[in-house]
Amino acid sequence: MKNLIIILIILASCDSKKKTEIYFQEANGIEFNDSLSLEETAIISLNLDNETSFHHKSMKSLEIDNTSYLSFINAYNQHFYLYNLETGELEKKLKLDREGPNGVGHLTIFDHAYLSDSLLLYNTWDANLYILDYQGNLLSKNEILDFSKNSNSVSPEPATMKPIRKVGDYVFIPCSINQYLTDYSNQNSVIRYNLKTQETDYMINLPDNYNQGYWGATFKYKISFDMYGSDLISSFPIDNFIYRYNSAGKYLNKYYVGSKFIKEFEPFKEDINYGVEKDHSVPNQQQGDYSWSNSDYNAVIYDEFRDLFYRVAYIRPKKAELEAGRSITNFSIMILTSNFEKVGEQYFDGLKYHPTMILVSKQGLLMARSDLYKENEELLSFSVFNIAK
Amino acid sequence: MKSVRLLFIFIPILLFGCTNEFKSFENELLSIDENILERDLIIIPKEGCTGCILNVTYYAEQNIDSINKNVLFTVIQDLKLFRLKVDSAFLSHDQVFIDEKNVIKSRNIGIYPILVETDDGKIISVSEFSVPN
Repeated sequence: MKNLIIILIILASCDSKKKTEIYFQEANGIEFNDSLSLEETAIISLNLDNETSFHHKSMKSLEIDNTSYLSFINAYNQHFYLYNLETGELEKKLKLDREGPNGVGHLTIFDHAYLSDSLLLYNTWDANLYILDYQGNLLSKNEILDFSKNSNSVSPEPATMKPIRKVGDYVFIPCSINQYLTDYSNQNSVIRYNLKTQETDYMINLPDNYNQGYWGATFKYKISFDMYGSDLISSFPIDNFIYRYNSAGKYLNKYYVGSKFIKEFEPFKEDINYGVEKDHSVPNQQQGDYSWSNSDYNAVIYDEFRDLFYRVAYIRPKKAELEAGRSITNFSIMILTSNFEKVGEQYFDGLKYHPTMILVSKQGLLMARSDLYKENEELLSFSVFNIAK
Repeated sequence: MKSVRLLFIFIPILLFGCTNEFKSFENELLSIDENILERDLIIIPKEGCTGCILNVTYYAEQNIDSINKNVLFTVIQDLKLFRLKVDSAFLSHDQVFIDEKNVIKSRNIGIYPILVETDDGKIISVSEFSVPN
């Protein structure tokens, strides 16, 4: 009887040790119809002024009257820039006041959207959504999150590759987590703000993979999405699936789309409680090494001009490379049909093409060239990639 | 918290202290400029503890003529942006150096400014540097 109890205890303890199991399959991952590729066809160079450097956290490509433009906000001088991509000329430069009647606060983490009659600007610092005219006059200021409440469970962190999107009266803002939890089943990842009713609501829960361990830095918990009509097509860093939701946040479908360069997802710690128990105010070299040396998915981008999706995977350096000083990640871009069938995947050098400055334009897929900027700090250059069969 | 800060102070010491009396670190620094170790050296990484970096940068700007220390800026992602943010007269001072090729790796230097004490052009100690009271 005594032996039986010991055996049962051993069996029970083995059973309670939960093993992380992230779903992988070969179809639409390693195996796919490799029929399309990205071919570099041109370089576009923009003249930078003396106050503008290379990297911008909020950059867009857009079409105005059938002409392609590129816009960004320079955080150093807090100016909005609009370049004509076809001539390379700077067509508009607009100061965004920090304070005063037209003040938009100090811009550190933020994103903008160019609308036909106004500029939409979300400032994470004060969680306000500003609408300005193109003279810099503030038209409205909308409080998205109320910091006086302790219930804010999300951390809105839009950026060039994870932009805010406006569809009709709604503005959608991608978020990371505000704090680590022991259960992410109800953790939202997108804010939806109604410009008409001025109501904020939350949608799209983190997928189940996040309940299978502790995944390190908060950027591993950050959604990327793009609009497809009024639907949100979303991607998470440690999940091979792409998810489709309607604009109200109702789940519609999911599609397996794996990178051939990502063979596994291993959590930093199998015990999900680690994230809650750890003091995150203290720098954690081990966690940093894990987070920066384990590959993940970064962005899903819809190409409206070619009716294709791109999924960007960060193929991160190995720990030894990290220790030797490599900090920039390489990346791959998967090409997907609008039915999420994978039809190509290509690997890119992150020292040549900047992994956080990839944009869709009418001309093709634009990738900012870090290497060319190092040769000439007065130019911001992009390689233009077109689809080849 | 204090013990963790101490750990960060000791990381560079452990890294450099065990390697033939700072020899490889000396070589890295001398590859930036052969005169860089003629005085004690404050190394300021441009990425890391933002408040500490701003404090030490301001202190160095204000006191460069009186502190008898060299200053090295390293871990610079964008030289153009760096030059926009730091006073140009200070940057052209002969005691100020810039690690333009990022010879010093961010991982090895840590996130806080550090003080390299020298004697006759040789490193004798490496420790975290904070602005004197």
